[in-house]
Amino acid sequence: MISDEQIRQLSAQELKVPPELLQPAVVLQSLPGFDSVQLLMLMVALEEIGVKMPTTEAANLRTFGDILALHRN
Amino acid sequence: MPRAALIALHHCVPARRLTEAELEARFGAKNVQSIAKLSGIRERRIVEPGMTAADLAFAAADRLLAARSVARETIDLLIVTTQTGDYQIPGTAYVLHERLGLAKNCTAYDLNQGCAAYPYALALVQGLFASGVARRALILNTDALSGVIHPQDRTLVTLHGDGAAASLLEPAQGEEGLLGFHFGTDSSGWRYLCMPASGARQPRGENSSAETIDETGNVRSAEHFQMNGQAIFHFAIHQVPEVVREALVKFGVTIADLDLVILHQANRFMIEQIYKKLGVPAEKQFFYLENVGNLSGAATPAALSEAARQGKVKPDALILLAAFGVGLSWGIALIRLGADGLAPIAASTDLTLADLATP
Repeated sequence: MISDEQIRQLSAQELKVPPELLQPAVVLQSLPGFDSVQLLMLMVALEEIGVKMPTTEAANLRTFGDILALHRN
Repeated sequence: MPRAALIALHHCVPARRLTEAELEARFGAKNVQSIAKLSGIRERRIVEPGMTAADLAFAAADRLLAARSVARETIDLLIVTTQTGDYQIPGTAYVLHERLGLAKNCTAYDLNQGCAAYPYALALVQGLFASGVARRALILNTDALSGVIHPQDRTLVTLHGDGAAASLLEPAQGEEGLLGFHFGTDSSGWRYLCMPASGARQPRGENSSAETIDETGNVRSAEHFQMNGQAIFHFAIHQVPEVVREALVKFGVTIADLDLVILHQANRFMIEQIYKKLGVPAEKQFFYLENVGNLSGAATPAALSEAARQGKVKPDALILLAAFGVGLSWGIALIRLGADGLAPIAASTDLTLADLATP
């Protein structure tokens, strides 16, 4: 079972931001130094630990909460 | 049933290079390098004012026909695939039919397809050969998306180049030919690759040219080509391996049977992910994007053409082409080449404005 904390740590690593910045409401594009390429790499990393998402959800990833919702669902 | 065979192939890109240095000045080095690391694209070829996708297609076809001494009156089918034609009406096939000096008995029409265009056009030729409509076909895949991308939209500017490919097909004489096709559509994603104000649904006017800036500084308007990069990336690395596996089962072949697997040249990381999921070994992979960019509908045939130019296409080769994009659509073709292989055309692949001025 993947925990929210695992998702947070992985996201922080791929997005190159401190984990504490990753609150559910935070808009990913507003993170310091946000780079859309990092988000694509995060999508790949999430898949590698078993987090699946349909293309429609990948299209609408906007906040960290959207990412958390992927594995909760 | 008569089967079509791919006899000759050539491609053409504009001589104008859009370099990393130019893009770093526009977007900043960090942004450009980050995208380049993923895309594997260091340089794009883009048209200059006065040059269009039709010009690129003309040059590719004219050079191919001249090099292979093909009598133009013997071509009885012309299919042009483009999203950036010279006019909305008429189709670019008519403009090129005249310019190439093709005969009145040559059927000509456009196919509005994006990055997946090549397999779709190949299948049309196969069907039209089978129905007796034609016996010698020319496919021209051409796109010049640089003209419809906002110059400040780094998600697209950094990836796309312009280019064209010309393919000559004739009825197969032996074991060679177009052996199988596999197509599909996920229309739930058509909005993810779209130019909103480009037709009747949203006519162009004052509102359509209004620019918007996203949170990371990309600029676009409804009159520009737009991409949801997250969605397209996801579609490519999930849907494409799945449908290629379906195709292999349908064709009754395995990766081990293939000599070459050519994918749509969207970005290097994406292609590598698909190759990895399919278990395609390095010697069966091919990349043609680092110095030209993503050539959209021309990318797949141009990659095959370039592979032939680099001596990587053997006689009798069994090749799988998989292209995907706008729609969202995908097309997969299995091709067996003849004993002559796909001998490269001894002509330049560059097009300059001066070339256009030469009669």
